[in-house]
Amino acid sequence: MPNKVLVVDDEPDVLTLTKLILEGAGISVITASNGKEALQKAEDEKPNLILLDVVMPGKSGFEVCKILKSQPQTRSIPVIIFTVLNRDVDRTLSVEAGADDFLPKPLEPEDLLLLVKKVKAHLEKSSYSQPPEQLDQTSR
Amino acid sequence: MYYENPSLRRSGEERLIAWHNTLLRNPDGKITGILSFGTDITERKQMEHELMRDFGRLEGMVAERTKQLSESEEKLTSILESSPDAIVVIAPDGKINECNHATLVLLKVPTKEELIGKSFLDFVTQKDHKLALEGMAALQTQGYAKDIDFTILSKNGREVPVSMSASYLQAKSGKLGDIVAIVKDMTQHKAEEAELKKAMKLKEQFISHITHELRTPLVSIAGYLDYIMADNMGPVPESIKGGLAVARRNTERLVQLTNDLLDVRRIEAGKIQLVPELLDLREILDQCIKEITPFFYKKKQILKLKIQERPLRVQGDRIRLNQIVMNLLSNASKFTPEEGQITIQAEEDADTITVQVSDTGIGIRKEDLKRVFKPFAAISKPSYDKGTGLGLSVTKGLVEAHGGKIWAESPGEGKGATFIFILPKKVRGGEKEERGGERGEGDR
Repeated sequence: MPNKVLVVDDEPDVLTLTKLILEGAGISVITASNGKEALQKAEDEKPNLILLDVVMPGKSGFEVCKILKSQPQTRSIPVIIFTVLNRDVDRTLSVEAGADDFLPKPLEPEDLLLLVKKVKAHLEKSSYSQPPEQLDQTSR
Repeated sequence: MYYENPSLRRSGEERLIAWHNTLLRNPDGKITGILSFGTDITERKQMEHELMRDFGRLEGMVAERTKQLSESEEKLTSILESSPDAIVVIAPDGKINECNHATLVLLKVPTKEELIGKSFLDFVTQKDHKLALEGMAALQTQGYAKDIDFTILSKNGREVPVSMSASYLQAKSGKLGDIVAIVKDMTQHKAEEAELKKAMKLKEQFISHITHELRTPLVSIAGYLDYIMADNMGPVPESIKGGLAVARRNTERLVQLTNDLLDVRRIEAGKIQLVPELLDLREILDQCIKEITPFFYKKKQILKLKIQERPLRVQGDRIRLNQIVMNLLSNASKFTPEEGQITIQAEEDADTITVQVSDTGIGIRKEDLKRVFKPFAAISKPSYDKGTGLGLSVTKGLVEAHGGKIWAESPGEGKGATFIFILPKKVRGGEKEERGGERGEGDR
C-alpha cells in the first residue's frame, strides 16, 4: 500500500502530534509548514495523500488545494482539508476548492481514531490505481 | 293709506291691528266718507320678530363655523407643514399637485410654485424609475404601497435615498385618482444600517478569529493528552492517569466553550444548518443517558425514566438533537445537589414530541425563567456558575431551528426546575430541502 502522507500545518506542535499519531499507525509522514513548501513537496515527493491545514500565513489551505487540483502533476493526489474550526462554511469551501475530504483536528478523543481511519481509507483507495500522473481518468 | 296701531280689546289684551283706509268720494269728487279695513296682525308680527331673531342667530353660527373651519384647516396645514417627511399629492398624470415644506427641503427647491405642476418622476434618479413605477403599480393593485425604496435626485444634484409610502387621497371633495405619497429621507438610516452591518461583520470575524486562536493550542493539549493516555508514548501509571484525566476534562470544558461560541454565532446569524433525517428519539435519549450516567453516578443522583415504549419518530438532526438533550441533562446534574433526582419524560401526540427534564435542584426564580436562555445569563448571577453561559442559549437556538419550542418551569428557588421542549414531528418541508441541499457533501 502506498503510504506516504504530506501533512501541512503552520503550528509545529500540531504537525508533530499528527506525525506521531500517523507514524504510530504505520504511515510514513513528510511535513510542510506553509503553502509554498507544501506545493513544492507535493511535486517533488509525490505523496499519496495530503492533509492540509486551512489557516496559514501566506496562502490559505483552500488556495493551496485549488492550485494542487489545477496542476496536472498534482491533480490526482487526494487532499483532505484538516481544520480546527469545523464549520459548515469550511465544508462548503473545501468542496469548492476541490478537496476530496474534510477532517476535524483532534479535539475529542475519538478524533484520533477518525484521523487514522480516514487517512488509511484514502491511502487504500489510491493503492488500487496507477502512478499519480494517470490517476485522474480512473479515480474521478 | 296704511298704518299699524295697537288697540285694546275689551278683555284688556293688546292686539296689533293693520289699517287700510280709503277715502270714499261721490262722482263729483267730493269726499263722502272713509273705508277702513282692520286686520289683526299680532301673530304675524310675532312670527316676523322670531324669524328675524333666528336669522340673526344663524348668521352668528355661520360665522362661528367658518372660523372653526379656517382654524381646522390651519391646524391641518400646520400638521402637514411640520412633518419631517415630505408629503406630496400627485395627480394621476404624475404631476405634483400639492406638497409640504419638507418636500422643498428634500428636493432643495426654494418655493412650492417651482414644484407644483412638475412631474414627480423628474425627481427620481433615472436608474430608479423602474422601482418607482413598480411601486405605483402596486398602489393600483392593492390600493396602497409601502416602503418603496429608491433614490431621489435633488435640485442641487445630490442623490438622496428615500423610502416612500403611498395611498389614494381619501377626501370627499378631492379629485379622483390623486395620490398622497409620504417620502422619508433615509440617508441617516442607511448610514446607521451600514455601520451596524460593518459592526456585525467585525463581530463575526472576531468570534471566528478568537475561536480559531483558542482551538489551535487546544488541539495540541487535547490531542497530546489523548495520545499519552492511550499509552501510545509508553505505559502511563494509574497514579499519573488520574491527573491527566483532570487536565483532559478541563480541556474538554474549553473545547465546549469554543463549540458554543461557534454555535451562538451561527444561531445569531441564522446560519444553523440541520441535516434532518427520520429517527427514533428514544435512541438519542438512550445514548445521552449512557454518556451522562458517569456524572450522575459521581454525584449519587438518581435518574428516573418515563419514556414511552413505542418509537418516538421525529424528523431532526441527530447530532443537534443529541446536543439539546445532553445540554439539558448536564445542566440538570450541575444544578442539582448530591443524591438529588432527575427525571426524563418523553411522549408524543399526533404532531409533536414533548421531552421534559426535571430536577430537584436549586430551581429558578420566576423573573429568571426567560433570562436563563439568554447568552451569558449565568455571568450576572454567580450562583449559576460552572457553565460557559452559552449552553441554554445554544439549546434554545437548536430547538427553534427544528421548528420547536423550549421553556423552563420552576416553583421557585430551591424547589427544582423543569425544562420542556416540544418538537414538531416533521421539519417544515421547504426548509428541509433548502438546508439539506446547502451543505454539499456533508460527512458528519
